[in-house]
Amino acid sequence: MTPRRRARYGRLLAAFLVNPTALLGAGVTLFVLVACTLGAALMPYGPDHADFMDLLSPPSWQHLFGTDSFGRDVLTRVLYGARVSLVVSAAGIAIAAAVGTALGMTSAYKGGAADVVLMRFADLLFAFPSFVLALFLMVVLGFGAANVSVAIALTYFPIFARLARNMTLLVREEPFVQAARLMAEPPLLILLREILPNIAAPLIVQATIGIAFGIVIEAGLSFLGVGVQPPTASLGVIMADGREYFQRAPWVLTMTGVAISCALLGLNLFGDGLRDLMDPRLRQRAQQ
Amino acid sequence: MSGPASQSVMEVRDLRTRFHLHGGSIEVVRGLDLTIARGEMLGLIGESGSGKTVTGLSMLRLLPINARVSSAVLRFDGIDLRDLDDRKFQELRGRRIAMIFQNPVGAFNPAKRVEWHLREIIRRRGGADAAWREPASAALQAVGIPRPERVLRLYPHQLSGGMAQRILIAMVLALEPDLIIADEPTTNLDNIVERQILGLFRRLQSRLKAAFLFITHDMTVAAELCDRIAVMYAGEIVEIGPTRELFAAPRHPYTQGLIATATSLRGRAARLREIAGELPNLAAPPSGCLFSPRCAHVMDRCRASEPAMFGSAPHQTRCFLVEGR
Amino acid sequence: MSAATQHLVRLENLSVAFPGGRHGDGETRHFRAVDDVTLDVRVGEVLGIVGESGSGKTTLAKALLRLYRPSDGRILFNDVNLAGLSERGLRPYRRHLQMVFQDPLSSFNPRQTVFEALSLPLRLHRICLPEDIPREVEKMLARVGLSPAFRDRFPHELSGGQLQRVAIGRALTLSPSLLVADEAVSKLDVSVRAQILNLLKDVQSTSAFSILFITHDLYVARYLCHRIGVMYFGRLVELGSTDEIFGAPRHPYTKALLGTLDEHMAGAADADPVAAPPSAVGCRYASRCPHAIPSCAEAQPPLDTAGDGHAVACYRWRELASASESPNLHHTKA
Repeated sequence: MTPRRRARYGRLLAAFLVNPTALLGAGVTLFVLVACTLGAALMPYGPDHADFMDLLSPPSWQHLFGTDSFGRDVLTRVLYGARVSLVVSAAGIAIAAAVGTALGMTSAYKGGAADVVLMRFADLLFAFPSFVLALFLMVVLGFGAANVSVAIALTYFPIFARLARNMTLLVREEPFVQAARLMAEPPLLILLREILPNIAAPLIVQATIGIAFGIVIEAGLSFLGVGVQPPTASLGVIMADGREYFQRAPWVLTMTGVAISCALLGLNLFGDGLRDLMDPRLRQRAQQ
Repeated sequence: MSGPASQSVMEVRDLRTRFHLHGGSIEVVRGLDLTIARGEMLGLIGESGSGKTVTGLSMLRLLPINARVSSAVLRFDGIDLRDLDDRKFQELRGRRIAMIFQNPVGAFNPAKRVEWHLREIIRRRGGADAAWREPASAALQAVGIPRPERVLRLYPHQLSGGMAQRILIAMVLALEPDLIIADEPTTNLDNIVERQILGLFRRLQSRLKAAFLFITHDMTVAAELCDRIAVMYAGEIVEIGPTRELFAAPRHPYTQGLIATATSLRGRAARLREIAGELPNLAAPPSGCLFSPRCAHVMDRCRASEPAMFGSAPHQTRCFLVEGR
Repeated sequence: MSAATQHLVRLENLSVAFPGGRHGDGETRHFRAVDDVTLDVRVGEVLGIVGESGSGKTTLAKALLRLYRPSDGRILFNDVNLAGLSERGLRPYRRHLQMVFQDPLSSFNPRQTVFEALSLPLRLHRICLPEDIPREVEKMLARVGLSPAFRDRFPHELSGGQLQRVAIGRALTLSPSLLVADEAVSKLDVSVRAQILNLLKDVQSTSAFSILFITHDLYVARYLCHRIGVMYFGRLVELGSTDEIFGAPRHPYTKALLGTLDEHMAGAADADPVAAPPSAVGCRYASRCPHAIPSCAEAQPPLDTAGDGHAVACYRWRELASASESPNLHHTKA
């Protein structure tokens, strides 16, 4: 990396650090990430360690989130569950981003029939409320964590496709892309070298927000029992558990809900902060 | 030039504008003095990066947040502008000072038709809202638009650059301000349209007797329109004087270079005259006179200290070569 | 200023049509931005195309480079009709036809350094060995008057003039036969304009390429070009050597344009363009032309030969020329 590029990224980082939304979002997200990786590993209990002497006990110093109907420590389960939820969601969004961006860019660059077909297909997917669509997909594909990722991918890919397409349409008309065409740069290289780097920013923001969305879908599907299957714990699975004995032990459902909200808050704030950064006028504000 | 009891319309002393960026700040306007008399057309000439646009924006509080403006004197028609709060300043700015920008279409509200814009102006002038159509049509006709009824119904995106600029001039005519600041109003227009718009400016000035600050990089355009010309380089005025005199006998080497370049293009030179070198980096300016690195007549003292304005009014020059003349 | 008489590129009856056009008066039509234009670009010459905005000059240049698809006509380069080729078919010809754009900043990828922008053509076309690329880039920077320090800068760190130099360097890297300059100096300050024009003149005289120079500025055209074509609303109305165009203009529009050059003259009597949009039928200029007669509005005048290499599209050019050998309205004091 040349010194100039390093300086450029350095300036971006500095702008990032003075933006309170971005900082808070990054902080919370980082906290969540660390908690569900390191934190989970550091917990004294395993997620499946059942202590039959201590069923459904309320939060205490030994069990910060209490225990569930099997005597398992809820906090540990939430941390492991968060990991599963994040991975499932991230995997789905990654597929959606990759496929959606690729298709969107190509169809915008080439235009014509391919473009029309893709956009109508995306419209079709948009017509369904996301959760209903995801539910339908689980019925078709079968239950399980991997298929949850696929469902998330299919539900969210039109957003990336449309975003990538619209941004590509704009950038395609820029003189520097025309200059690349005049130089006989092959279309694939034009898409990768000239267009993609210049549309990446909103896509990254979209991905961050997408992961939050994915967590909600996963939690909902698993809650209904059609997503991640027990014994694997994801946040939705734990919530399904907690719902059964909500009257006697509200903390299971509640604390899991709090955990989900934290993760979502962090991701959304982080995404907002990133978006602020991309807007040059707001960046100026930060330079005062 | 001005009457006996004249008060200048605009008086500026030691205007300084500083932009704050990552890791430091840059002074883009470095101690500028200007006086615009009533009814006078003053040209402010400079290349990109000279600070000429920022000067206009500084006077009108139109700079972004990271800019700081300071001045010893900043008076409009005797009113100290620095004393005015934002609301009072806005009243003044929309009513008695008008600004015409480089991108005419951008000055319009894209969601509103042309007639809405003219109506706004007329209303602001205190005209009865019901009777706006007459003066609006008259204003458009005054700028050479023969069928105003149709143009009034257009949206800004339907206007060409030249047409938009005409309408803006019509709006200024309707407003009747005391001071008009025009920043590169013809730069984006081609020759024929530019000619017509310049003619309109002349007409505007003779009708309104308004004072004009005409900001441009094109010397020849300024020479046609302006009574006096100020040449700006790297944030300061380096020469100022009546147009004819300045063109006949430019004293600052930069002015001489600009005129030579413009003339060589208009004449039949075999090779265009250039001014060697580049604008100084204002973040790390050279010592002494800012033009010294590019000056063919540079002396030792030019590098040691910055020259003050020398020469007797009305033709003054910021150059040691002129000192004592 | 004599140019070779071989033609490098020949445009034959070239038309470019767009659905829905826009004129200053706000009316929309389906219109031909370029209408049946025939002209040659000769080897080693600088051919200027002048006209107002809306004249179609930029569209013409972009159609020649196949950035737009012509709706009619041929583009002949080395006897190959480029108008009919697909993008793939065009690829071997691309390096011979390069362009410098009006806005230097947007003609560069904001995320690439000057070095990357200049090395791209070298790598794409394997002009030199990969290890020689840094040296070639430095040579090109020097050729356009920039120090090697510029290689690692990003486009937004350079001034307009500096960027335009890089743009010229980038275009010349492929040793093109034709360089199209689309208002290449219009956005630059007057003094920087002089530098770039001088650079173009120097580079063109030492290498063997032709320039198609699009501009609305007649002074610039006069300085740089050997021959000049005048366009009006998509039609080529006059074509001739620079001396002839400035010394003995034949078309009423050309005379009107030249009338703007001398500020002391009232200029040829010219109806306000705002009042008179171009006629849809017949000569486009008829609605503004002080010499228009009823038959002008019937059909488009063809390009008539008015002398060696001088062509005019006007029914009345002969009578107007002999009727009044008007004193030269366009001389300015040196």
